Amino acid sequence: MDLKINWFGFAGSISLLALVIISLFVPWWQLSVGDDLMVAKASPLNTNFSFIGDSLTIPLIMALNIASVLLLSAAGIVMSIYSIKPLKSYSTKLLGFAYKKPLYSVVLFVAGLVIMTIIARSLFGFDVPLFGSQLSTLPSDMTQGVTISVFMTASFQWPFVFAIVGVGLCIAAKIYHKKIVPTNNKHLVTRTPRISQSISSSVALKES
Amino acid sequence: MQLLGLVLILLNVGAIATPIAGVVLLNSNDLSQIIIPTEFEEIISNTICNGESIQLPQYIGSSYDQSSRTAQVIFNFSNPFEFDLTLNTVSANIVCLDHNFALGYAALDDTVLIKQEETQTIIMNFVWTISAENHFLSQHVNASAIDAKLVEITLDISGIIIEVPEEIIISLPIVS
Repeated sequence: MDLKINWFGFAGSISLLALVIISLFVPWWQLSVGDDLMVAKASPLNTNFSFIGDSLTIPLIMALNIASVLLLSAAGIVMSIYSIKPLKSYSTKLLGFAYKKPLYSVVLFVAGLVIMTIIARSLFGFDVPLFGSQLSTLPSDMTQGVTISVFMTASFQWPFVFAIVGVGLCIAAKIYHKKIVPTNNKHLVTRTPRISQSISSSVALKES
Repeated sequence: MQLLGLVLILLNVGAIATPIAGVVLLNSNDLSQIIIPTEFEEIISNTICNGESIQLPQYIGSSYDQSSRTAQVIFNFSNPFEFDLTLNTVSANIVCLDHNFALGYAALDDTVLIKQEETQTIIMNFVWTISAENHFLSQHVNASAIDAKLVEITLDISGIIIEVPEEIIISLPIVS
């Protein structure tokens, strides 16, 4: 009976499922403009903007958030199935599906923020901080001679750190998988030839 | 095994494609709504682009306290927007209009909340310096008030800092 459990994977799956729930309520990153005149709360799973108290939802971002919720939830469930039965023949496929998802989420989220700041600088001419506080001055051609500066404060919240921990656990699960899978199993693994390859080889045999 | 791989691929594709397709279908009559929804345009037009803009504080009058060498300069400040504003600071340098002599610095004592589409009276306190008093004694001996101007006016409105190039002319009562 196979009793081996990939504990990194198990912890990773728990952290992923917890991250999905937490991120629905607490953002990964928050930007505040002025005295909360505009607030942006962002994470790959839930993003909302409020402008002078009015809440705003951008449909495309909402769709991407739903996609992230589905994918990370699926990754968490698949990772938990894998971690309980890491030696099964299908486990490698499950692990391959699950361990990359949180990594992609974190990387794409940070890339999205960086791109957003670059767009803000190039299109509107003012700097949006990724973290920390900054007094950004609007370009004078936008303000008709009046100098208008806006105090912006941005910060990564604790769920972002939690997400990085989840990424770490999932990558550790992948590394640990190589250790717990017996080396002689490697010899047992056979690749199913692609149908096209099989056909071409059978044709070659017939011809010979 | 191949079935599992297929299921996982379908899960990947479906999880991304389904919500996006849903949003596209819901906004099929105007696809620009996917990025800029109507509510966003409404908020912008009702708040920022409602044809109104912040006006400089309107000078009402001034009073002075001889013992503390302070003057109070009273303004009306209007909020033309459909949301409340907090006037965190208003500050300016005060300069004698006739001689362009720096008299001191005026500032708001406390924050003032100005409700939407309302006008609020704000009071700026001005403590004049010894050199300003000497200026009054030497250049405005018989005057009970002098004309002065507020320059380098800076307003902090709800965290937005506005530096105004215009000057406000005021009549300042002085100790003669």
